[in-house]
Amino acid sequence: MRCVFGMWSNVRMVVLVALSGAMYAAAILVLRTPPPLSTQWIGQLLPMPLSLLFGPAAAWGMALGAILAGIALGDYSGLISGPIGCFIAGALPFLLWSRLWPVSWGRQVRLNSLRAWFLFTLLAVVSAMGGSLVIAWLMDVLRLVPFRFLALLIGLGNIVSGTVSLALLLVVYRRVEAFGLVWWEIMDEQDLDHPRSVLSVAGAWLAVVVCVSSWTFAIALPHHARFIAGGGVIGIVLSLALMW
Amino acid sequence: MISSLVLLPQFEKKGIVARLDPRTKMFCSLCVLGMITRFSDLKFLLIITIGVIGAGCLIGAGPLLARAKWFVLVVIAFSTVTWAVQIGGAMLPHFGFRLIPKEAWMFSAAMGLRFGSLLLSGLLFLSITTATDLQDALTSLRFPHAMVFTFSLSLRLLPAYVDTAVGILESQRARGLDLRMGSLRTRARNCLSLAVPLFMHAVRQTHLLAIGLESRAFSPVEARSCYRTLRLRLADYLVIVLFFVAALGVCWATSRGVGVVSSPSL
Repeated sequence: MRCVFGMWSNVRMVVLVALSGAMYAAAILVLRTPPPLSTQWIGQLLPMPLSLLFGPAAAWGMALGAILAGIALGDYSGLISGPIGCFIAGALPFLLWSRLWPVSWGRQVRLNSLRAWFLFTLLAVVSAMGGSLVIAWLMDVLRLVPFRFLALLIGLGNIVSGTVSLALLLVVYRRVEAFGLVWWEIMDEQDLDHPRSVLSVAGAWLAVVVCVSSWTFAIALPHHARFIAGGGVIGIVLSLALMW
Repeated sequence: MISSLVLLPQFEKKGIVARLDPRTKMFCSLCVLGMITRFSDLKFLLIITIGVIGAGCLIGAGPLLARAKWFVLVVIAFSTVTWAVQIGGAMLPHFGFRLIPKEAWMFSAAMGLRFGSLLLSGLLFLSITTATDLQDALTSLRFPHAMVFTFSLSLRLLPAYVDTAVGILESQRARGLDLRMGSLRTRARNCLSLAVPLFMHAVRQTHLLAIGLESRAFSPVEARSCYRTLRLRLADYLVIVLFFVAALGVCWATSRGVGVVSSPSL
């Protein structure tokens, strides 16, 4: 997580935030349905590849993209919950990719084994559930859209889009790497974190358990959804703190 | 619809409201946002919505609101039905399989109207604020320079990417691409034929932009001076005080139960 704040001193990372934000907002805006039916199939192809390519810049970029899309549409409700949820959805993949020991092996993305495909799918599910949990919980707390409806809509849509985005990553990864724009190659060594510390690994697995369990239970138990989802959000924040 | 709303419809700064300091507009918008989210009674939300529409017409944002009317109506209708189904589902154990009761519909309509009035007030803010205004307001509110730079850069990149995305979409459609037909696998493959060109176009642009900034010794952490400095005037102070008092009044009234209705399922 240190890199999430340390990246702001790097020109290329700052430009990548703008790129991620503008691209995500453009993808949302071009094929978007009205806010309660926030199905953004094309837009949701981007968080997983962007996160694994641009790391913390993608996390900030997702939040920025949600803000830009909200501003462009005049959708205040999206300005409240969207940036936080999209930040989580953009941060979890790159943070967990190198931390989920023993499944993961390092920062480099090599999708040439069954284990790598499994890890990618797991991260797509976890980030989709984590992001949708935060967005739906905040929208429910503000009494704008019921939790169960939005969590199911965003969560399932993002799981499908996130998993499908494996194909996009396969196509673009080598090309972006050739440009020298992969995040850990751009950032200064002192700003990079240590993914193999015990706390980092524990935090990563905590994030997986919290996202999957709280999303599932909050949907299965609608009467306690707000309480369970709130607990899930606290769990996500705690896991991010552990991954510092 | 979306293309007509996208990217800050910038009106000429003719009216007194449009000439207010952008920080004042941001503060007022936050106050309105707070007021809307405090109420849950249909009558009060209806009054606020009418007030927002009236204010929009007074400051010359009528055409924009008129263009957005179907968008807002769909949002209100969909949100209402969603809440009604949710509350109706939660009430089934108590009411058996009877129809959703009137109280649930009233509460759902209030929630739908809350969503709609949020959208309307957002559009109103956009109609009197330019992208440069937003950037200046963030700078004068002492947001970190790197973040403000990123925000303004994105605002400028966004129209270019929207144009590129629309161009790619139309050219792929001209080649026979249909995103609504075929199996899930076909649709996924079709989505990729849009996403990959957009992605690589953006990456190429970013690469060049980063080289350009670095060659000009741009630093995101160095302190910078501003050409334009914002100053609050008497009208700004008056408007800020007015909205602050109104927001406090709404908080006080809603804390006493005025304009607040609890969900029928609770």
